[in-house]
Order: sequence, then C-alpha cells, then structure tokens
Amino acid sequence: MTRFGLPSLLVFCGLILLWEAAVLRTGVSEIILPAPSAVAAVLYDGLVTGFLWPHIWITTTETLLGLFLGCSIGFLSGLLLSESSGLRRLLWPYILASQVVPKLALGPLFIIWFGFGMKSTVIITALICFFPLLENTLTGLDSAPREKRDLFRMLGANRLQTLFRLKIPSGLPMIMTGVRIAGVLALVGAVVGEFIGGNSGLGASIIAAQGMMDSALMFALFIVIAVLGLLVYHLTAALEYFVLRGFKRNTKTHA
Amino acid sequence: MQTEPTFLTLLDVTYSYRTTAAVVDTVSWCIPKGAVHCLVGRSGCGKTTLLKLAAGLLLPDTGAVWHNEIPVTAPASDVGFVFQTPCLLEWLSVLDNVLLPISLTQSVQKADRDKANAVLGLVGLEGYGYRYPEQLSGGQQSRVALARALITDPACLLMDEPFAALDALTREELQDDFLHLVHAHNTSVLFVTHDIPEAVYLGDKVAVMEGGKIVSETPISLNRPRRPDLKYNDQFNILCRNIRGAMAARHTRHRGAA
Repeated sequence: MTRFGLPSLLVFCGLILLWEAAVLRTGVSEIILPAPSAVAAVLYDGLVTGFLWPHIWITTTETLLGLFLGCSIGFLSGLLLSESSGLRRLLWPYILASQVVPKLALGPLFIIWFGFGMKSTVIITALICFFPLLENTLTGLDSAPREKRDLFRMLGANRLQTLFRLKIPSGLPMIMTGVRIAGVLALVGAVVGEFIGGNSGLGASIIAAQGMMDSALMFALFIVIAVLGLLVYHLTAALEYFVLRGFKRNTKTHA
Repeated sequence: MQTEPTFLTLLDVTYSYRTTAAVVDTVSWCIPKGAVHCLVGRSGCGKTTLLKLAAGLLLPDTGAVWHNEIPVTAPASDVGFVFQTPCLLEWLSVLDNVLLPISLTQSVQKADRDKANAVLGLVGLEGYGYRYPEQLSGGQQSRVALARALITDPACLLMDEPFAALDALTREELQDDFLHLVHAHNTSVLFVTHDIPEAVYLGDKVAVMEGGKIVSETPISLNRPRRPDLKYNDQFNILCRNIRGAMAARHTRHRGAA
C-alpha cells in the first residue's frame, strides 16, 4: 500500500462505488452480480460468526504444508541432480516432460490414491511447488562463476566444501526467487486442489457456493483468497529478505 | 639446473582443449626463487592457460611442471593464484574472505584472525575487515584478493591480469605495493598481463607469448626498487618498444601466413 499510496486507494473506492451504483440502477439479479455492499455483508458475517475461519485455516495449512514439502523436496532434488551429472542426464528428459504436464490434471488420480481431503490437496500443492525450486536450484548452483570454482580448487576445497561454501551461497538469490514463485503457485494449487477433491477449505467452499448459486459468498471467498495470497507472497518475500540480508546489505550502501 | 635455485619449472609443456590445436605449445620456463617474471600477449594467446598449467589447475598433455623440483599433479597448495576478477565471496566480510584459504583447511584461531588483519594492513586496508566486498572500490577489492593469496605465505604467486580492470592511478599504486610485498617475502611471481609497461615495470624478465609459444624473452635490468617516474625514463621506453616490436613482428608474420 505504502508504495502505491492514495491514488491507488482512490481508484479502488471509485470502482467499488461505480459497481454499487451500477447494480442499484440496472437492478441486475444478485446471482449474476451481487452488490459490493452485499458481498461485504456476507464477508463480515462469515468472519464474525466464525463460518469462514475453519476454511481459511484449512486452506492456509494446505498451502504452507505443500509449499514447505514441495520446496524442500525440490531443493534437495536440485542438489542431488546438480552434484551428479550422470543422474541429471538420465532424468532430465523426464523432469522436462513432467514440467509441461499440467499438475492439476493429476488431481483426480491423487484422489483415487490418497482419498478426498487434505492429503490429496497437500500433495498436489507440493507437486506444483516442486518444479520452480528444482529448476531454480539447478540454475542457482550452476551460477557460481568459473573463476570462483578454480579458486576453491586452488585452495584444495573438497566437494562438500565447494557445495556449501560456494555453490549454495552463490545460488541462494536464485533459489529464494524460486521459493517466492512457489509461494504464489502454492495457493493456486491448494484452492484448485480443493475444487477437485476437497470437502472443506476455501476452494471447496467456492464449489459449495456455486451449488447454492450464492454469488455474494463466492465474491467474499475471492476476497479472502486474494488477501491470503498477498500474505503468502509477503511471507515468502520476507523469508527471501531474511535469508539474503547478507547480500542486500551491500546494495544498500551502493545506492 | 642453474646455479640459482628455481621455484617454478615448466618443461616442454603442451596443452590443448579437446577439439582445437594446442593452446600452449611446448613451453619451457624457469622462475628462480624471488624473481618476478611477466608474460605478455594478446587475448587468446594462451597466457591464462599457461598460468593454470603452472598452478596445477590444468595438467599438461605432454611435458611437466615442477614446484620446488616436485612434480605438480593437482592444484598446488604452495602457490597463491590471483584471478582476473577479485573473486571475493560477497556474502563474507573482508576478513572472512581473507581467511578463506585457512578456514577451508582448519578451524580459524585468534592467531589466524590477527594474521589476516596484519595482511590487510600490508595491502593498505587496515580496519576494513568488517566491511563487505561490495562496499569496496575495485582497487580495494583487488587488494583483498591479494591479501587472500598472501595469507598462506605462498612461495609463489600466479597473477592473471589482476589489475587489468583498474584505472591507471589505482593500478600504479597497486603495482608499487605489490612489488614491495613480493620483495619483502622473496616470493616468486609469474605475472600475466596484456599491458607492456606494466610487465616491464614489474618484471625481472618479460616473455612474449603468441599462438601458444613463447616467442621472445627480454631480461629487464632496471634497478630496484622501482619508482613510478621510471616509466618516463628512456631505458624503460626502449624496453617497452622492443617488446612491442616483438609482439607486432610476430603478429604480421602470422597474418601473412594466413
């Protein structure tokens, strides 16, 4: 907010007013387009009565759990593939192929394997987070310049030392970018995962609201998801800042 | 072997990258202990490859490299290598960068830290230990790289155009400080550069490399210690012109042949 400031806020208020006025004037059905006031009322109600909180909690848990699992496994696989060029050559075609497969298309299969509910959604989310981390870890670890590798060889560093003291720190900015990308994808994964196989959570609630033709509730859920998305984004951005503060310190004094 | 003890010996060293013709072609060279030898040549003439062979970063296809009469088969721990770029780890403080060669082999003691501070003092960066590389100027970064190479008291320094990216005045300062340091520690030096006056100013001997071969060697008999105003002296300029001539003559012949 601070960066965009007042004008952005005014645009937002203007649009809301315009929307409200348009709904009042045209008398369009609430199923097609609910008025902002109606959406706000449903949202307020949902938060106060506590109807929304369990769903928010479940989706948040799925997102963070999936993010954590996907990032960890992606990072570790990246390490493994980057250290073993044979394994990398062997598996690369499959990794590439699995990257272009839409992961959500696997959702129905996961439901058969893992059942309805949280487990399937977490696994879908983790799978979606896995690839940006794998890719960025591989690229990041390769990003240490030739001369620095030669320096480590000159200094007699062994493989683990080169990995932990040169390659991982060099690749960290890239890896953290992967985490930020995965963070945004994680929420999408969790919500859409719930579309397919959830019985609770924000995505499942959207499907339920659709069943009841309750558009105002759907809009209220969009808002909750958007806020949740912003929170996850800022969480990963804060994590990135925290991990890279050794790098940031430098650019600050230069500016 | 000559009467003076040698540190670095290359004998008929040949090296080629997989597909191309020899990048370094039957080069032989001796650097006596405490001598500064400079190698000049155009970009791509094989100077950096020769330096890596001398360091043990590359192993020759044929021929051999000795340090102190011991054959080199792996990256050598008794030489310091200074690269074209300072190669500092930006996530470590200046002090930790200087301590890197030590921290990779053992845990760092207080004595090591004191020594690192002392070496930083030698390269003119006293009190800079807790800064970070990006907070330093290019010249200061080169000084840190030099300090990192010096902390293990190497018998020999291999320098790959370390001052090439610096402005003329900073470079002069570094050249003087560098000469002072290597003479104080009796360090052997192989210094690769494309700057002829730099080679003449620093070296006891200047060799010209062209197409993977050493095409001329010029002993530099200018008195030491050398001072920057030496660069405006006639003898200095004649040496520079001769070496320039050796490079140019060779190059014309190459082009004629092609």
